[in-house]
Amino acid sequence: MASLPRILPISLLLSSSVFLAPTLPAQQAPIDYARDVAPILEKHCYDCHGKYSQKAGLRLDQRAAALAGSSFGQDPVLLEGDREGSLLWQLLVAEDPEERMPPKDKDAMTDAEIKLVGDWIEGGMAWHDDGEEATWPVKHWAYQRVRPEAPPAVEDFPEQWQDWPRNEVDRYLLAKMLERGLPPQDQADRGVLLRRAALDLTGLPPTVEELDAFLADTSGNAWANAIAKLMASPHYGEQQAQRWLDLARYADSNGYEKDEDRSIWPYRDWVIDAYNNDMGYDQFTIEQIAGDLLPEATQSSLVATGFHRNTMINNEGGTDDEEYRVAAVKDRTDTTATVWLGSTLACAQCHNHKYDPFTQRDYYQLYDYFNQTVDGGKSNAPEMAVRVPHIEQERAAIAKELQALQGGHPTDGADFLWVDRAVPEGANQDGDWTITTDDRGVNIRARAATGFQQHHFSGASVPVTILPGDRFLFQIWMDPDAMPRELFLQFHEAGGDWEHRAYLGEDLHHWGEAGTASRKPIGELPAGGSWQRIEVNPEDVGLPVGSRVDGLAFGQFDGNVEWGPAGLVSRNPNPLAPLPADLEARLKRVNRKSTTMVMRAIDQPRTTHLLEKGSFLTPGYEVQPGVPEVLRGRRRPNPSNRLELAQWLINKRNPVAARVEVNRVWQQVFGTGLSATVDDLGSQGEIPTHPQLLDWLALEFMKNGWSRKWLLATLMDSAAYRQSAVASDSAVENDPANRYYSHFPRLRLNGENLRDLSLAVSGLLVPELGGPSVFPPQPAGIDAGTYAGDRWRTSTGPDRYRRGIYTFWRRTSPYPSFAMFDATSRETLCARRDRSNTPLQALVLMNDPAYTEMTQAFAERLANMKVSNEDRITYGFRSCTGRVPAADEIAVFTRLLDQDGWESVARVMLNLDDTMNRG
Amino acid sequence: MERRQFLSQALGGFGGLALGSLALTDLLGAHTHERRSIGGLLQDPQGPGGGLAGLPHFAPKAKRVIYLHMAGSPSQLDLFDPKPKLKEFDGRDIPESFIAQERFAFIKGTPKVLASPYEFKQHGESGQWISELLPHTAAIADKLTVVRSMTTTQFNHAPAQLFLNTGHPLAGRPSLGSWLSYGLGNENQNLPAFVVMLSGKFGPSAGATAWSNGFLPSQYQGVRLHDGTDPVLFLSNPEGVSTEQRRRELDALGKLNRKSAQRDNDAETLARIEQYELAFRMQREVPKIADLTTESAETLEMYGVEPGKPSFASNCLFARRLAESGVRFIQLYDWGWDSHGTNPSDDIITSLPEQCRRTDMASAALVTDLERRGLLDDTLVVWGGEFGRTPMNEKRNGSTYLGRDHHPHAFTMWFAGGGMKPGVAHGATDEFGYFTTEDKVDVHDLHATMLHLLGVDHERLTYTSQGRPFRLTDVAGNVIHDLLA
Repeated sequence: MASLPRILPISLLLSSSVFLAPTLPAQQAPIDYARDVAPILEKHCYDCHGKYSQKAGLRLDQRAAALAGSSFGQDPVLLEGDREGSLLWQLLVAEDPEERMPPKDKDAMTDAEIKLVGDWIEGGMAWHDDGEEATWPVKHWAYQRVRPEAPPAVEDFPEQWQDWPRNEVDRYLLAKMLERGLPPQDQADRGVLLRRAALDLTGLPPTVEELDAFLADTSGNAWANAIAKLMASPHYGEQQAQRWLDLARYADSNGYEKDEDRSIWPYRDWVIDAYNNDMGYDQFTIEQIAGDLLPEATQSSLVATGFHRNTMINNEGGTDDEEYRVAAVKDRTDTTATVWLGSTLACAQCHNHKYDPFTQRDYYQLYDYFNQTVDGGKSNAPEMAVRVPHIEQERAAIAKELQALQGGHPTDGADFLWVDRAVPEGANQDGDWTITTDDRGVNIRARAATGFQQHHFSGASVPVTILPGDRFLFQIWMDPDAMPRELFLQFHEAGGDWEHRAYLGEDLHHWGEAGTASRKPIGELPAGGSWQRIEVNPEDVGLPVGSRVDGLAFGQFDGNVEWGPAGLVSRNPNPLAPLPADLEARLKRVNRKSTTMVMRAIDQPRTTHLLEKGSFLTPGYEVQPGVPEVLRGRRRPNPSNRLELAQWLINKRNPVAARVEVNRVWQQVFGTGLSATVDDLGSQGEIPTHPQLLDWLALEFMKNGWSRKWLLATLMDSAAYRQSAVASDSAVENDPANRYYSHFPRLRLNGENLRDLSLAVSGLLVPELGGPSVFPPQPAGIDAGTYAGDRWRTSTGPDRYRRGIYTFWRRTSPYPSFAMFDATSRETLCARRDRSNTPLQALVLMNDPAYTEMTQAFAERLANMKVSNEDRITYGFRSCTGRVPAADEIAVFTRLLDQDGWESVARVMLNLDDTMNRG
Repeated sequence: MERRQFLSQALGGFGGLALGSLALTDLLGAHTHERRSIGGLLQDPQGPGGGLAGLPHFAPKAKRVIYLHMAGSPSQLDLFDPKPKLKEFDGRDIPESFIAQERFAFIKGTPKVLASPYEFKQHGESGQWISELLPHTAAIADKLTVVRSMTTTQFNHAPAQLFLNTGHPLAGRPSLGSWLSYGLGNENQNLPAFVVMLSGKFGPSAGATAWSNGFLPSQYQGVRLHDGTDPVLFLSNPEGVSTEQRRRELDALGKLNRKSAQRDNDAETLARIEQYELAFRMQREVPKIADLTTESAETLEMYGVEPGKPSFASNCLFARRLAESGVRFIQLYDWGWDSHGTNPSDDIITSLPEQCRRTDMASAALVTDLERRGLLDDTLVVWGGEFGRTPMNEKRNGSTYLGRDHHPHAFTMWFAGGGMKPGVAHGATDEFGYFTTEDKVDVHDLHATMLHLLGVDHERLTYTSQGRPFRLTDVAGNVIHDLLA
């Protein structure tokens, strides 16, 4: 909602000013700007709205700029002949001192001065037109609208270069290269080129067979086809997601001191899918910021809101929930500003931004959109169980096999009393477990409760397996004179949690979430005074076929209850019997936790206050939701909620969102952004090396449906992308950072991609997509330095060989071989990873047992090939680097092979600079 | 000389001499006329040991630094800066004049003065004031230069740590250790010039940015070593790979990588070759240096080291051994000094004495041990946090535990050896210990003085990034000559 200033009664002002306006010319000669108005505005306004400063994008000293209005000409403030309708007038007479101009800390204008300005507006705004065009000398480039401008014309290039540009990107780049006397390089080796594209798009190197096919394809479409094929690979999404997950600060643990595990991997898989489906960046934005508020919200759009649930949670005892909730909301505000507005807003938490046009009020207005959700600072709620299609398919297949196993048993099942006289072996029990035998010969635990009470056990050494048709069985006797108001039953999943609950009677005890599997109503209380059976369908409490249960809890609210033997009604004669090993292994995988953290709007909106010095303990004045004025324009309505905010962020009028994303994608492909400060395009950021190119790309990106595939294809189709990485001496001398792209920038692969590459060439890679994060081997004790001790459960089987993106990301102890290659802890977002070069990296690739395993597999693979040693070396070399080795290179390997065998050959190949780099 | 020709000479050419065992720095050091090495990454020709030619600018007093950073910031008012006035005002409002323009990290409203519950005495011939919490430090009082007038501009941990380490509160500038290894190289070509070790539950708030190379080439970033028996992750060869086999692997790798470097004209590849060679040399050297069991029982006891048990003490002993081996800049971070008083684990009654017990003996032993080995003269030992603590009780959310908030206006650091004047206390604070009143030393002055001791003129060690030359001290910093021996 636009907030218009409240205006003082005009009659008051006018009547008083009659006596206070002796400077008015006696004649009715029109009031003139230069003669009458300028001296007043100069005294009161020019400091902020003049040549040297244009706060709110308003300049009053220049005719064209003043008439064009604030927000750099977007919003008129002067309406000729319409005093009341002119924003300038409204602000001069605003009642609210926060709104009124000049600001309260400046000298006030006299009533006479105000009246004169008003009369000037009313009287037709006489102002000599000097013909100057409107200029706002301090307007920062990133906040100006993206304007179409034609790329440099090919005809303007010297003839020898006219054939070089393949698309507009090249024309912009070539113009600057030639300006600087840095001619571009020739095209790279085609094998190296395919590898380059494959690594950029999928993060996996091409196989020798793929290289051969590409080299054999001499058609004009070979390159375009190769790109299209790579983009169609499901690994495309994995690779692109990696960059986004750094921005989303995605991690598998809560952070802070305890750093407990969390389950939010479905969000990670959502990102992968979104890239694979080339979801437009507009939709991609809306679903992540506000997928829960969409009228047509789906499981998928809810999972997407995990973007802002990736904030840290402090579930340490004694922490103030509000303190950490506020910290999370601030992180969402800061992250949104960096990711979509290219601004480091965080300093405006405590004070007005020193360099950029953002005030502390702007900060808390943006903060308000994220302040309206139900999550707290200490718990992971709200979470949502996610049905993952491929996991459900596998579960159904397993259920079928299990059904076949139980074959000839009676269809309605028999009672299996799991808890009879004693709790199952190995279980930890709690509560009052006194066993008595009543005169009816039943073993019971009796309880007289006031309020909620329960007894429970968990951790049975052999859990029960839920097979098709199984039901949980409870037997109870309730005192008709002291009936409980509620029976509250809980089930503990082996290796999981207690979030599986059913109740009968009133909904009194608060654990879990009403109506869901964590607190499911299953009916009224049965009659008292006799033994009753209660059966619970495991599906109702979120325990599908194949689930493992190792604990039960028997709870009641008030009343006297006797709890008899409990267990299962099952067709399976022994639910504790082990399953065949392969089914067991498959079951273990489908039973991994598949919940995800989601965003949910709060029912009763919070009032947002500016926080003095950023502290949650010192709220200042109240603020309304709003986006930074410099970007919105003063007269445009503010988005009213998170969904409208998301829509505003990717509105084509917002000049920065497209620029920021294009700049980041450019960085991904060319190593450095067109503005190197990808997280800050504000005034402290770097002015782009190629501003027109950045704008052209931003505009075309929006025109092409915000398609990242379009954007990447455009960059990769350029001649600049296809250049060789050879740097000329003059390029090294005059453009050492290669900011003008006169050769292709070599980039050292990050830790995840180095792992991917080594897995791929060694043949160990399990290319499975998605699912819970995995625990590849890491040195013992790495996790032990953290608060909760070593929690690394090293994966066995296929999960040992998954791509880096699936490695469990523990914030207080990132996977060492990734961290050593500059992966961050993901406590906060990272828009640009370092590319360091340290001896520790050499030790990782040469000695890390995970790498040794890959090296040995690669060696074995080469040794087992039924070709000559030279061909094996060539094959291995091409798998790693994409190019055919020269004779002297083969000779180096042959010699090493003779002395030290294939493992050394494989290790050197995996450590080659040409392997570690995307050249 | 043509660049390409220079390169091929420097590299010995592909197929030429195997240079695996020669450091790249040696090669480049021979060509002092080249303005830049390839890739333009190294902006000045290098002198022996990998430093810049022409450095040190003058004869250094100190050749190396051991910097003990007490992350979180110890309370100067309970350790080094006694203030009887606080006793008088204990529990009363701090005079308004102090806090009129102040902002705090956590304090709200008008805070109450908090007297130190600890006894201060004068120690040694110098009569340095040191509290009862640091008996071992007190015993070496005559060797210490205590600066009570340190100030900073930052009042939150991460920015303050960055400011103290890089001269700038935001990430992106090279750290002190990186500047020194860039400028001076290393005395030992088998070890990194700049190493970092951590103790306590966590690392410093600023994380690895505190030992970042910033815009300097990446080989100058701090290398983190772990204490105990496994000082560097993945230091050992895989089972069955001998040192000789690894040497041959590296020779083959170096040969092939030099060819790539030559082809692409990429200095980063040369830097990588050097990192692989350094890793190889570290494999040989580090286990020897890290093996604390070769120390005498008396030495272990003096530091309070239990071999095999990671601690600040074992880091100190490891640091002495690294210093002995010629490592230029050794930085130890010890976490746990952030005494806010929100609970017993961060107050000044339970937690602060515990921190002192964990560190006092080893810090003092380090100085004593260096001295008796004749190393203290040219090794500068530095001790301190990133800022100070308030003379007032923080009382966050009404906490009943005693603690102090962050305080940028005055804090204490001490120095030993390396050309500092021993047995003096420099600077003073007002009677509440709130503001520095005499001989203020700011972070840039500290840097200028440290560089001076190392023979470096802080105004002349520069590096051009994004079109302008940068230095550690930005446009400020004065050498504090009063501190020099």
